Amino acid sequence: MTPAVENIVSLLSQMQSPDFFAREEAVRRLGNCSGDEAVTALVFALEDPDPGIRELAADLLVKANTPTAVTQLIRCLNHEDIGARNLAAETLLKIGKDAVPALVQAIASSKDSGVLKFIAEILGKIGDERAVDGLCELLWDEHINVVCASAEALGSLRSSRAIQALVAAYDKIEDVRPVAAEALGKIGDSSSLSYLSTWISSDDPMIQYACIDAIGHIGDRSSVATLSELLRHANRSIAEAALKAIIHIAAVNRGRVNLQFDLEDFTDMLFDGIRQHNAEITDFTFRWLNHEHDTRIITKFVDVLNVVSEQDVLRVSDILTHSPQVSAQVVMEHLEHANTATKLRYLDVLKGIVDTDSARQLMSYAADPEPDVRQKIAHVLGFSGYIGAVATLKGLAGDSVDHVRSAAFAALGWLSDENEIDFLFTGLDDRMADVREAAVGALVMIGSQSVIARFTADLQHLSTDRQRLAVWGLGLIGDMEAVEPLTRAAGHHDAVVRKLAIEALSRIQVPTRMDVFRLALSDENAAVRKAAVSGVVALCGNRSASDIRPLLTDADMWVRYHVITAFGEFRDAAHGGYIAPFLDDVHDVIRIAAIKAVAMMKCTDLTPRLKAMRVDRNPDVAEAALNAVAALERGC
Amino acid sequence: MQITQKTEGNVVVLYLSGRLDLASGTELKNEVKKVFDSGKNCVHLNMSKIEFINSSGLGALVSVMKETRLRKGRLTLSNLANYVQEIFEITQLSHIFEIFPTQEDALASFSFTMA
Repeated sequence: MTPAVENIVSLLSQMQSPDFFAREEAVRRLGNCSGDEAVTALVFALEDPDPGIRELAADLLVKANTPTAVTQLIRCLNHEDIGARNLAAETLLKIGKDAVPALVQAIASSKDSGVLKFIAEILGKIGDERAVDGLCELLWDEHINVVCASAEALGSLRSSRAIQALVAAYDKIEDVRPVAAEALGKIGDSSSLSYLSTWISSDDPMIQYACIDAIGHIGDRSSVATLSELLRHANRSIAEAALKAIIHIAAVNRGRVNLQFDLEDFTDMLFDGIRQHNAEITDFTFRWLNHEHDTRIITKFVDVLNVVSEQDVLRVSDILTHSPQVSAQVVMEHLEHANTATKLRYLDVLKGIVDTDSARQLMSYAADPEPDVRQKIAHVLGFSGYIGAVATLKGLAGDSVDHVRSAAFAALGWLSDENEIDFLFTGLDDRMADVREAAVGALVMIGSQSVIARFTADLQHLSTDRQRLAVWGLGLIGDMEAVEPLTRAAGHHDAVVRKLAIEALSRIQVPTRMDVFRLALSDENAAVRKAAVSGVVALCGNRSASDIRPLLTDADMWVRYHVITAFGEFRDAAHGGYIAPFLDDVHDVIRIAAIKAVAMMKCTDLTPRLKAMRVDRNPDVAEAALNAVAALERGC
Repeated sequence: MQITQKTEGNVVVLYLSGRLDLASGTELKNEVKKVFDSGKNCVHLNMSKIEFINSSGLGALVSVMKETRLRKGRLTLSNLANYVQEIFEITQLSHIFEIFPTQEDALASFSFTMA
């Protein structure tokens, strides 16, 4: 006996110890030994009374992964102890593809049906096509458990080579039929469809279910016609199974199937599926019931609004727009008993379908205790077009919660007309900026001459804030009627008003008012001068070069930066001489602006200077120079 | 304003460019009406080239939205420039319109709902 074998014999003896730690140490040491004797000894440890030691032995066998380990484990599948048998099976499964040749070989040598069933199950789970022939042989085993396990395993292998064997087994062995049909479904080959379609006429519901499920699993669009015939089956379960198969085919084909049947009889099943978060049924239902419906179906859609995803709320909304009046009434009926989260969803949906009747009813919910609900009610009423809601919205505009007041003012802007201007102007004095902004927005929505006149008057308001809101509102209205007051505002005593006026005139783009911009270019306030540069450039483009050039020496660095950037955007190398001196500016931010500008202007004569700047002490300047040189050398 | 049209599945995409004001708003309403008259009721407005919108332009969009609802259709917007986005926020029309960052996002949302 060699020392190594003596050591293993000693460890085997230690494995019989009543002491857990002694046995565990023996197993660990066996794991460190090489040779078949150590592996065989580890297999004995699979029957240790302690589960921890058994698992340790199994892990070590997986690591060993030798032909002897596999052979010993297969032998262990016949062990008298069920725990050891199961652990051996699990270990073989972990070894995986390396165990397949020995497992297939064992099919021919083993006569034990329990072992063969284990082997079939393990091979099915490993999923290696080398097992197909062996498993096909097992279909003819005398024990039905082995036959069924083999058929199931062949399904898991998904190999088309097994189809004919499964069909033959179906024909000759009655008890394997449902499993064989299911296996053909898992294989997923369309060539099985002719068999499955024939077998569907079986009297055995188990076979029918299996065939329907298998046809669905294969996912071929041509099967929809066959399955559709079953939708009128006397056995409701068969009909529903057929619809589930169709739904799966539709999902696999991204909805591209031809359906010629009425789904109305199956709505309970479909909506139950939505409630159970079945993604295929949900998608199918929303896709194929996307048309006009009666109250019964609309109610079902509204019922599931509190269980579907945010994205699907949008889909339900879209469906309800096909029957807006019925839908609005159903939503209103549901609103009364809903919790806050569901109410918010109902209100989101109601936005797209609200009519006068539902708006009138909705007004009674304006005192809801939840501010978010009141906010959404304001928006829905605003978009309802129901002028009778103005009084309710005015009430909400006095709400104690800011975002409710804000929503109410915005909604009044969508709904009301000139008659409510006085009220909307009260919103400009609200303590919260968001509400004041919403009031401006509402007045902009009305945007009439009266609003312009009121804003114009407000330019002389005692409050500076009101003056600023007025010029902002005039700018947003943006009509030609607002140009004159904005022009006057450009000479206002408040610099913010002047800046907002210049920005607005710049957007409206009135070429005849260049004088206003030119004047603003010499404004005492840098922000106004900057806005004026943008305005002149927006109006005159390259022709504004002579107007803005004096501002290259502006006292304010950001005005200079802005002018340099504007010259860059002219993309005219003729102006390069004005910008080049800024490559040596004391401010790095100006140097970067100048680098980018000369690159945009394609000032290739400055390339040597830019190259020198690639090693600037400031990495941002160096990077800008690097990019500029690259752009100039590319010629773009 | 210039309007060009393209059909993507069941959705008619209108590409708007320029300034959306009183005159161009009327033009937009007419263009959308033509779409509805052709039997389609799903419209997407790609606003990436809209550089300016004023009060009248907003009114035109609201009008188009209301008409879409009457036709039991769906209207989406995408690619709003910063200024246009800002004005939608100020007026809170962003709560009413379906606005998507990109045209692809908007069209994908239609694909959920089309049979």
